[in-house]
Amino acid sequence: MNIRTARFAPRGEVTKDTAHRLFAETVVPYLDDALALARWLTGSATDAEDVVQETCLRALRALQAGPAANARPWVLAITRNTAFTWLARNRPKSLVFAADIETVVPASDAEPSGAPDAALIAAADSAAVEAALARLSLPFREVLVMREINGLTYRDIAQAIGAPIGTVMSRLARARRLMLVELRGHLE
Amino acid sequence: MTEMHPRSDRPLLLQAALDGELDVADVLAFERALTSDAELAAEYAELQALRRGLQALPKNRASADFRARMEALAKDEPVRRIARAPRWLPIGLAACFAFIVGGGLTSLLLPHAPPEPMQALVADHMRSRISGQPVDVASSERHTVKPWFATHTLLSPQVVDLASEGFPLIGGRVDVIGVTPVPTLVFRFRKHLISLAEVPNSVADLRRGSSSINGLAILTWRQGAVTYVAISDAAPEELIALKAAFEKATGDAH
Repeated sequence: MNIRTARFAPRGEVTKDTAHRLFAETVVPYLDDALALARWLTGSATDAEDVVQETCLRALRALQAGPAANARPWVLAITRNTAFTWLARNRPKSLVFAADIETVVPASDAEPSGAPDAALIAAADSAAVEAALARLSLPFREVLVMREINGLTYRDIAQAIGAPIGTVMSRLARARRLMLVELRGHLE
Repeated sequence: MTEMHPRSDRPLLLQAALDGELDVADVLAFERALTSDAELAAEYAELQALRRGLQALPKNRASADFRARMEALAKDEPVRRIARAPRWLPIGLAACFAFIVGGGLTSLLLPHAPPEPMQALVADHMRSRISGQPVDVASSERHTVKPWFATHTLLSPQVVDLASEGFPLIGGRVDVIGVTPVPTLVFRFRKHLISLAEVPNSVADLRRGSSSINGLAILTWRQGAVTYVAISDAAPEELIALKAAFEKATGDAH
């Protein structure tokens, strides 16, 4: 057998009061952020509340091992993981896996045709923007939402999705190009 | 600016400028470029319009009721539930060790298996695929993957590369059953990924054989004190082929 290494991190036991205080400081200030991200990942405000409730429970458990550094991306990382688990369980058909993206969305499709037209994009109504965002596949949608709606920096997005900053940048660029393709197609 | 950066960098540069991620010198160069390069300015204006459109979307705010419910969670959640984990881990480990040495006499002491360990593994497999990071450590080199596992899980799994059998190793990942981290190898088969988790029998008593959850093929088999669980969207026959290749390779290694 292969049990060679037996290591586990020593965990200080956190009292109930401390865990409650850490939760109030670390998670509660970012409930709006978590709800916004979960809403765009699941597609519904009601489902977002379920995801965020599960997120809070997971965060609470994690905080019993001690405080978390850089709270906002930490909370959003738990939110997106919880949302993905939720989607895998409840909407498996709606998922496009990141590994398939290169085949599902060839780079050439992500090139908007025609000249840039800021006035045209500015004229898009909320319903059109929302529909275009909802049609983005998850790996693109999550970075765009974290950047534009949660207002995270590249570094924080990288922490939240557990990917290098280069990946964050290329996914953001791709996400925006796809949005422009959708919106131009919708408006023209 | 445009001279400083090759054209292929332009999209990323535009993004970084838009997102306020350029340093001061680059911002100045970019602003100069905007005044002299009409095409760049038009692209930039379009991206700004898109940003305004996204930021004008209705905001999701926690209702007072929801916020109060979440705050109450911290008070209601029994802290003992987690504080207990470190206490059972050593017992689980000791039991696991004793199981090997004592031939299973200690099975009565084994901790309760958490519910649906197979579901947990399937969820981890699916999440890894959705998130675009199928592995925590990416390497086809077993001498990289194995030591990484040694520092992240309680047991150091058998790591083999099955590239010669058509299943190249692409890395490893830690999945979690209940509170126990288990090592999972990730192989590629054509366009499919196969997760192969190595679960100590003391952690979960998994049913052996072929099954299917959420449309994913699953094959489970035992080897000594561990159970292997292969999960993939590939055809069930491929998992049988993987099992044969894995057993051959680990047999050779003994």
